[in-house]
Amino acid sequence: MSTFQLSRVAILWQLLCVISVLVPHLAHLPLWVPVLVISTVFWRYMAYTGRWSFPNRTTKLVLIVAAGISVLLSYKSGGGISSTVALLVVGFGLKVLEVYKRRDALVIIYVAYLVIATAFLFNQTALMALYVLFSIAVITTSLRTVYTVRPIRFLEPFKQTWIILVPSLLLMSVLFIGIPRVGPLWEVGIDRSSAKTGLSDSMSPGDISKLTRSAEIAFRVSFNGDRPPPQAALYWRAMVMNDFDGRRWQNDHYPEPHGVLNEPDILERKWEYQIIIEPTQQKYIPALEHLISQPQGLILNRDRTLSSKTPLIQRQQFNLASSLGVQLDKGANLFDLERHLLLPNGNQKARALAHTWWRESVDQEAYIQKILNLYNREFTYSLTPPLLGDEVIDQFLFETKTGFCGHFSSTTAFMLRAVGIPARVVTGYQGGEWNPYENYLLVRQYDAHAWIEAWLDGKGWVRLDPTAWVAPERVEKPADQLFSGQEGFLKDSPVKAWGIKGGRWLAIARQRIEAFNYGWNRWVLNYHLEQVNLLRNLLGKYTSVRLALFLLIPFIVVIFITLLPAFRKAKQKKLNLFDREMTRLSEGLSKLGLSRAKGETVNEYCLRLGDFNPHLLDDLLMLSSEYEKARYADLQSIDQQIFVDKVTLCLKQLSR
Amino acid sequence: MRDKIDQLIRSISTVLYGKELQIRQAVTCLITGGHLLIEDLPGMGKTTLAHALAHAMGMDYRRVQFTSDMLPADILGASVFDSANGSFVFHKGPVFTQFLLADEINRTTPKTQSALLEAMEERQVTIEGDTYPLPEPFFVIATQNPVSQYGTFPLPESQLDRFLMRIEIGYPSPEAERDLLIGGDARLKIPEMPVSLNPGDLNAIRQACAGVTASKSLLDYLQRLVQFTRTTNDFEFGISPRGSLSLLNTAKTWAYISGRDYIIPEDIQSLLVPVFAHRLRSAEDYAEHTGVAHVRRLLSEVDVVG
Repeated sequence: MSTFQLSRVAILWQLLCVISVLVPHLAHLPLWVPVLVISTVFWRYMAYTGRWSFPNRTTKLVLIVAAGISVLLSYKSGGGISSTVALLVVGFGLKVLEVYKRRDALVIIYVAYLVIATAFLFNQTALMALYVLFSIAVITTSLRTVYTVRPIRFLEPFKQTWIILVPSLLLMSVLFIGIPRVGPLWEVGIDRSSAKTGLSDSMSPGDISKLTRSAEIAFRVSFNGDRPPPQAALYWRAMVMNDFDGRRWQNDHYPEPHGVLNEPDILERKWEYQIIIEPTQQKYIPALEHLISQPQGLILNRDRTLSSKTPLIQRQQFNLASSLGVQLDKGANLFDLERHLLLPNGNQKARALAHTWWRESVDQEAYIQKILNLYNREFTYSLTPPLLGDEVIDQFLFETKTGFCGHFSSTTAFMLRAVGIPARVVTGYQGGEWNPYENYLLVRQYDAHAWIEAWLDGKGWVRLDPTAWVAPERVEKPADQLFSGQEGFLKDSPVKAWGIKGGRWLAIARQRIEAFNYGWNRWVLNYHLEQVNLLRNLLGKYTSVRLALFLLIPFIVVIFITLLPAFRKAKQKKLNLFDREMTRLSEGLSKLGLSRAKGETVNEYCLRLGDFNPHLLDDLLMLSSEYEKARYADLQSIDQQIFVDKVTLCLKQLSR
Repeated sequence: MRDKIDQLIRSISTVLYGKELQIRQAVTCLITGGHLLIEDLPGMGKTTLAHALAHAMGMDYRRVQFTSDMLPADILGASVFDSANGSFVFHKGPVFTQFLLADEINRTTPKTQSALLEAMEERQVTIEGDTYPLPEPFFVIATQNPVSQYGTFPLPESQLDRFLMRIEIGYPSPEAERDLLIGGDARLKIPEMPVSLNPGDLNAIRQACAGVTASKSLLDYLQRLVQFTRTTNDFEFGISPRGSLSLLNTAKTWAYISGRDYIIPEDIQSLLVPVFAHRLRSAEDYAEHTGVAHVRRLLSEVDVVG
């Protein structure tokens, strides 16, 4: 059967199937790959219309070598999984030129299923899932047309494909919900070459403004009890920077040692929340202040920030708990405090000012109040401040007097350290946008923020947000409302800016879409985290018997419904005793090549058997005349037992 | 009564050598009350068979040779003005006979063809508002040359359907041909043939045939055959209910002639080609040549038992 020629409809569907699996890869493949595949498809089409001929051996060899080298060259710098997929797609495209027979067509179709599955390596949105479903329908249609011999209209098999796919989808969702998740034995690393996103592990005063140009989602949080803490309390600590080199804040030589969670002093209000973090290729995990739980698999640092052991290369979910209003770390040891006082040389004017003010102040609070007043009086908040030279702090304090959180926190920390108050810079996110449809908080990259923590006598580490003194609205309002008038905001993503800066109904539509995406991430992509709870709700009690039933019953129902017409037919086909006996005779003799041909009447058949074994002729003739009387003359008097015995006898004699 | 039919068949065999199957099929067709179409090349014995049948069945018989310039009035008759009475008088055409041999029916124009075919269906002729019934029984045996020959007007499906059977005679076997060569022109012997049936016999035979039974199992087989033509896409059209009824009725006659009062699948199989072949054609074929091949498919692909 493999030499079967393909029909016109089969070829057209085949080409359509190739194009449909190519589409999702357009975004990451080098341009020449789709061009190559489209040309082979066109070539095959011209060959089908008879205008061009198929390529000969030499042409094919040249194409293969050239394509192979091109893939190598295109991914010289290493493309990770994308290069492998490119090779697959190129080979797939070239194979199109070889489809003459059914066997070739099957190769194309089976590889098409693989190629469309690899689309999920690059994009896992609901839209992509929908497209892949469509594409699978096209591939399956193509598979069906390959096996259809009779002439059909073009769209007819596509409609029939859905009759297969719809019950399969039902079974698929049952499997998806019910099958226990086991960690993969083998994992395809998702493209590791992609750049780090989010916060960087150091901060210089200009850094955060890059993030405000991006509306990418940083993470989503849902709170137990639905309502989030007030906007002004939403400080998502990601990293703490202890060391200052005159320009940048970072953690230099001493990575933070592990910390331990001590019992919180005052439990003001405990917030439990689930955070789903977008991949950053980095290790930090943002969390609200005053963490009181440490999830499995995460490292708790000495400064009460969390980090994962490996960079986040895919979206991950963590369950955390924080208690707002608890003091951070009263028992910091001396080493820590000394580290938080170190300052490099330079910035003499700022230092001088600090010492002057320190002498004038009664205590630490009074000193801090002086800095605050200065900011409040003379400084402006802007996302596009002038660039600073070498003496960053001096220039900011005395010349430009314009900046945003990075400038303010950096400068404030300097001023505190200069007079012996331990201080450190914290980067993270502030605020977030509450989505009322799915009840979660959406934090985007433009919510990135920097503030400081200072060690005050008798109080421990206390959060100070100098930006809030200059521009209190930065903390009170969601960032998109605050920034939307600013020039630099969302400069790099005009389309998203349109949605975020636009009118009210646009904002609602955007929130709806994001609510859907949140649901998709939570219930489909990260379903394994919800599975146990969901199954417990569905099944009442989570026992293996119930789970097995939950999996089996839908299967039985679907299979039963699919088989119902066949059952009905089988019931109709229930044979009369004499027909059954004749079938037994025929099937029993099939090994000898003596089975009854379909159009052969029982008389003819018995005569033929008689030719084969003349001794049995009388018995066989009697058999055929009994059969005729019973089945066609409708005589009731035929002895069934004798008939059955006769058939058994003939069967025995003939097979001997 | 069966003896009379045997005698009829035997006596026709004396003028058409070695064609017993075709003679039996033709007799079955006429006894069942249908019209017969004989299709073959010139000189194969079509006219001889028709002549012999008419004579041996003791029927009043006329023959019309169809030509391309023939008009309906040439067959049905026409009203002619009678100057003596001063009124129109209807002059009956050749169709007013018990046994009409319509030779080379596909040589004439569709207009004339349909005039005859309408008479066949209605068994009456209506001219200028007056209806004249045809005699009873009324048989038409039409002969035609294969459609691909020059100067023919093929009959459309709807008109082919009016014929209960279409048979082909085919070349004689060498032995039969030798007998023919020795025996001389068979047609000269037709007037000397004995007349096998008396006027009342036909009705008696028909009544006996109506008493033949078809078992449930046999009807299943017949329906499987018909269903196959309707569900398999190779056929342009399936068999109509009239077609399946025709098969059943002719099979009853065939079973009666064979000496049984019930039908067996062999009866059906013997009649499948003459009854179905002209009612079937493949989806790609416009020249109606594939009917026989398709019936052979029915014979081999439809299960007899089941």
